[in-house]
Amino acid sequence: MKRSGNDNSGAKTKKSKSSSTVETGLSESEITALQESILSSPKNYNEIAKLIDIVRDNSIKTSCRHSASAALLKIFGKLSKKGSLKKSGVVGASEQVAIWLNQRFIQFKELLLNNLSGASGSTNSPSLAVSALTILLKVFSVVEHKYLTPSTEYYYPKQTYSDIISSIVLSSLPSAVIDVVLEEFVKNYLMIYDDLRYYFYTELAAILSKELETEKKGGYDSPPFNGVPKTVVSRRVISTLQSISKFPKTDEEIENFFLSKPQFSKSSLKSGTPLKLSSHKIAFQKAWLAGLRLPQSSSQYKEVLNILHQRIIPNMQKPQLLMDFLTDSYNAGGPVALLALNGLFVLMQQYNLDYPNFFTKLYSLFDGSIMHAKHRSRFFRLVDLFLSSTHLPATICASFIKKMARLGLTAPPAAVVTIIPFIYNQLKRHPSCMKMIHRPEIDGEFSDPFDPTESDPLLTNAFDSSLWELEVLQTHYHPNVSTLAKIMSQPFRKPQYLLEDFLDHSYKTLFDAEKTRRVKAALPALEYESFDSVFVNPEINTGASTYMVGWSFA
Amino acid sequence: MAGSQLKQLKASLKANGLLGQTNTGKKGKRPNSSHDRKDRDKAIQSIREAFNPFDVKVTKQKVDVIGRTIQGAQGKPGISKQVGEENRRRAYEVMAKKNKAGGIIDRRFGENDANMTPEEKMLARFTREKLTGLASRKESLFNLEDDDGEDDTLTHYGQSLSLTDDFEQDDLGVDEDDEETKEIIRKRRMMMVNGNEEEEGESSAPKSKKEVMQEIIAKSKMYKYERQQAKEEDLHIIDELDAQENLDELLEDLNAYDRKHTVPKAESAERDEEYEQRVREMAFDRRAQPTDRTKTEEELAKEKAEKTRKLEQDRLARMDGEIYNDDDDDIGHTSDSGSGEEDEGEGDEDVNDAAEFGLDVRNFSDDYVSDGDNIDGSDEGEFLDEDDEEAESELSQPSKRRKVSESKPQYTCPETIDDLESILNQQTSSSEYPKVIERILDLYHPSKAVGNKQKLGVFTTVLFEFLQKPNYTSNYPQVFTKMVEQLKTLTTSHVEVLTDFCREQILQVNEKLTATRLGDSTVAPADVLLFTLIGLVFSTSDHFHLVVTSATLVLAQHLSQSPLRSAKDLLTNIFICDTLLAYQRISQRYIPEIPLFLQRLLTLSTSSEGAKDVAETLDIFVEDSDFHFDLDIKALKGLDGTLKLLDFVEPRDNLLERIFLHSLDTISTASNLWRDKLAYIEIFGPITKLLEVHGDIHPLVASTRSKLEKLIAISTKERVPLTLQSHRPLPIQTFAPKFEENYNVDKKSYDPDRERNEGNKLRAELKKERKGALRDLRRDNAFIAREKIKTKRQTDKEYHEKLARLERTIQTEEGAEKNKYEREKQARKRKH
Repeated sequence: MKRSGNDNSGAKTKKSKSSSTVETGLSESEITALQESILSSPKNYNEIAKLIDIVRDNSIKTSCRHSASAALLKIFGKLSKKGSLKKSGVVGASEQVAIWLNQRFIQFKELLLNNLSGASGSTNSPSLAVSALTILLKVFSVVEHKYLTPSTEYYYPKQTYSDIISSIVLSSLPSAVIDVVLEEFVKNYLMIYDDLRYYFYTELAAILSKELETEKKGGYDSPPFNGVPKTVVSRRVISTLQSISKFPKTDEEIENFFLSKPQFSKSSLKSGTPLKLSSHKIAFQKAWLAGLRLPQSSSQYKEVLNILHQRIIPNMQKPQLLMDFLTDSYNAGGPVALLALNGLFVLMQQYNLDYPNFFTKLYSLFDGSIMHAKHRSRFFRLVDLFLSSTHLPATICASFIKKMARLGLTAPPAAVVTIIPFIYNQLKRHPSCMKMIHRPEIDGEFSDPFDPTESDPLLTNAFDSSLWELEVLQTHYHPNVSTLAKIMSQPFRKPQYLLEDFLDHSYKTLFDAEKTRRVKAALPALEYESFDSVFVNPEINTGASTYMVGWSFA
Repeated sequence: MAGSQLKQLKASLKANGLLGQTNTGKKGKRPNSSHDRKDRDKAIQSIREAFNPFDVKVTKQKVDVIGRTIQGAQGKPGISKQVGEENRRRAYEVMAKKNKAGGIIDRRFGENDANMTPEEKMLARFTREKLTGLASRKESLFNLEDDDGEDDTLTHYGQSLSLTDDFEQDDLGVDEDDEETKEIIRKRRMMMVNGNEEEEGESSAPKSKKEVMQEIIAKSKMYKYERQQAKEEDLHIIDELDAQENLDELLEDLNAYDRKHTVPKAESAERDEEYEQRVREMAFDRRAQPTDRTKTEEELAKEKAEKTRKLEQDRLARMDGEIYNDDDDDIGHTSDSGSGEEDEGEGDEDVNDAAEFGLDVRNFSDDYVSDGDNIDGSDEGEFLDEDDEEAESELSQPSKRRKVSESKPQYTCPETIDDLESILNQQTSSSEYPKVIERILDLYHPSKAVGNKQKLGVFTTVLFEFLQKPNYTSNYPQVFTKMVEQLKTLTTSHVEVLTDFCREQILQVNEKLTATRLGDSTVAPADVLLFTLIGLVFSTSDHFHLVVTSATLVLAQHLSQSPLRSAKDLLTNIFICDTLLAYQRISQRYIPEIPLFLQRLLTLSTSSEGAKDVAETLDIFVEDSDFHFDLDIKALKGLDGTLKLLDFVEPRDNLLERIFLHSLDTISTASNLWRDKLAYIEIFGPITKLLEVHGDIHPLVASTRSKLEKLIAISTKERVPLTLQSHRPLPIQTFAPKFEENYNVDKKSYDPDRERNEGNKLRAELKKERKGALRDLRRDNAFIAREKIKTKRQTDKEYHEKLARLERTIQTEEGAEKNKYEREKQARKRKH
């Protein structure tokens, strides 16, 4: 709606400037002047529309648009303070003005939101998006929260905040831009202000569930997730949730408010209030659960699982809700299962989660890849914990030992270094398993009863088998490893090996140890044996000794 | 001893003749002399001491055990002290008299005995004399009446007068005629003999000072006499010679000869010098030294066999880790870690369990001594052991042979690989390379110039680097082998340089392999050839080896971590497998990465589902990024498994198939190497299963599989459970108290070990004696000090008294004179 001719001076300026504005926009001083004039008299209100035009126009250079939006912010701020935006309900000229101003205000907000969501199509500059966010949050806090409060009570402009978040999360802007915005949002707002964080969690959960709902129902007018691929959304959501590392520990710690500090009331407690830690926890939990409902890439999955037991579970009101997620991850097997084990363990230990066939599942995690996995040490730390009970049946323990020894046959030395003290400790805990390494009397023929394909550790018969694999590892090529393996042939005097000392080895640490090694006295020994030919030499007859059999130069 | 104290006293007094019939001796012999009274006092004193109950001190027992006697529980400290004091005094008196001549001791018999009549005294003296005469008859040298002294010889001036024993000492070879000279010799010798005899005879008993002095005087007199005699005799001979007249003639003749034969001085000096030089040359000429006898064939063979045996023995010792000269004793002390680990656990959190196996991640020992600086030639001999010297001599042999042909080319000793290449590129064919290298070794033999040793050290690394570069000409394999031999010989004296070089190379190649795994680089034949050369030069069977251990680690890491993306990756890995297996050809250590790779390879080389299933059931680890391929079975038929280093650069057709066939050979090698391992079934079972999946695509597959199956069958049949803990069972600590049968309070020890028991007893005794001796010494010293003070006081007192007396005398005299003077004065006064 356009209202013209209210004031001729305003119309004049508009006319005179419009020609130039189209091309170049206004200079900073002109915008300031405009802002002054608008604030000085309601007659100049029409200039607001002009400023909005500047903000909207993509062709105008960004600095100009920045100052225009800043000016608009100031204008609406002042106006709302004066109460000019408030509708009185009485029909009249002022009412008309208020309605018109309100419409401009909404228009302004939409413009800014578009800058974030990319709906306007062309804002690719991160600075514009960041400034849009800043201004929006200002609008949200100052204008709406402070001056446009409908009643005297604490007012939280839910819609605006929700719009901000959804326009960011479902933004069609390139991820480079959005990442900057998100980083800014997290760093300067969510990490600092407890209420913003609280409302962020709440709104995010609401938005995501709404979108998922829409998608499920089908037959939608607008595509769900604003047409943005779900994986992108998921990446944004999860990385944002991950990067918010701050979370209050007690009610007292909640003290930073972006909006004014809300009043505490019973009703607010029911619906959730940023004042209470429990509400924070619920919001956090909702947001995470909603985030995890999105499809995850495997790396993302691993990252989440990695921090799950330390940063997510403790901040949730009801971590049991993660049970399904963890169980699914655990059942997925492979490295994901290894990582899920940690979270699952926390649930089992602290939240009384009962996991059926836990040891069977754990046993099945011992496959070919386990010895080569990156998170091997973490896994073994947990397995040690799980198997530390002396009340565990010796058969189960024997199965684990046997399996580990078997996998040791193709394991890197660093893994062998882990499993040998591990087996030692297990044998110490379950002395009945000692017969796996020492069984002098057998009746008649002996054949290995161990069934490597059996998945139930109770039925593998490993208890009646023997650990020949360890004998092989005693002749391991690495001198330290073979010496370590020889503890199996020595009297078991040490009560326990401190597993922690053996966990964090790798080829690198072993090689570094070799690298820095120097020998004081003796020089390295030389080979005295010589060969008729080093590589295959067709000219030499076949009886000759060759060092590299089956290899020739050309 | 019965009765009361009083009765006892009476009895003892009576026994000493102090009580009772004191007047019985009325016969006239009144013992009223002072001497008798002294005896009497002494006797009474002793009785008094013997019967004083206060002298006895008793140590009270806390717990009195019946039947137990404790030494030293009762004692008379006062008396024993007195006894000790008296003993000391006696000894002190003796000591004080020591080295003091003079003084009169009354040693007459019975002189102080008042009971003896003069007749009795005389009788006693006579008997005493007789007795001493009997006892010292042997010693009385001059007792001529003694007939049975056979050894007695008469002497004159200390010389033996016996004439019997001369014969043997004589020089029988001397002519009888010049008796005079002979006599001189004889006399001199005789003297010496006698002197010796004397010394020998008397050396048994220590001589007094006087005796020694007497002896010296006697000897010097004798020598003086002897000298006089000798001089006289010499004079006599000279006189005799003078008497003969031909002496002057003889002198004249001699002078004439001298004059005739004297040559000009300069000429002779020159000639001498030349002669000297020749002599010196001959002395230093190696040829002039006698050579060893040429050894026979058998001897040479035997020697070689012996040497080989020794080398093999050393190798085995190193293989078992017996010779382990590592500085941080990680490995060394693990051998006893089982036995000496009582103190583990409780408080010491600093102790890292892993560290004791050398597996500490936290701190790598930093106390390493970098001793790379003693590569300089100055301490050449330091680490040149036998072998090195031999090698050196081997090196020097060609130089001798080649001395004849001097037209050989001259090279500068190559310092970089480019230098060497520029030299070698001048050659017409690669077969000339070994000759060139030999020539260089010859030219820069350490014996030829100072600094050659370092040059050759650098050359060793250059040659090594050169050998790393493959050459694809047809006759290169032979050349390569020859050059490797040369390198090995050269290395014997430059181990340290090459070790440092190889370690540096390993680091570089490790970085390159890491980059390859990330896809940033590719493996060149030179990179893998490094490891082959290391295996050829260094002893790969050692338990720990400075170069080989790191090399193995690098290779194993690549083997297990490299993604298998292309034929090139497979080629690299199969080469690594072969290299590692060649390393372990003697020590037969297990390398888990090799079966892992072979399993992966066999899983990848077929896209059939069977392989995947097998891989899954057998926990074979295949990465997602690995590429699967199908073998071209048609092409496979006509191929063999020989791979070329050239394949790294220019892959041939059907390379995958060739690699597959080669891997079968590798499997056989590995299987032969580890056939005795107890887990053979577990190692090669999965491989056999995978070969089954492949089917009979090539005769080699079937033969390899059947071989493995056979070995698995044997292993299955023979395998029995482990008995790793078959050492002596650990004794369990007992807490039951140990009771002693036949317990005895006084028994000190119940040790069943007799020897130990006796040892302990002796030790205790020694301790006790030692304490006693120390105590005695202490008391002696105290006594002596006391006595000294006493004597000092005594002398001081005497001195002061003397002075006082003198003063008094003077005063008296003075007073007398004064009185005299006064009287005189008065008298004069009176006179006037």
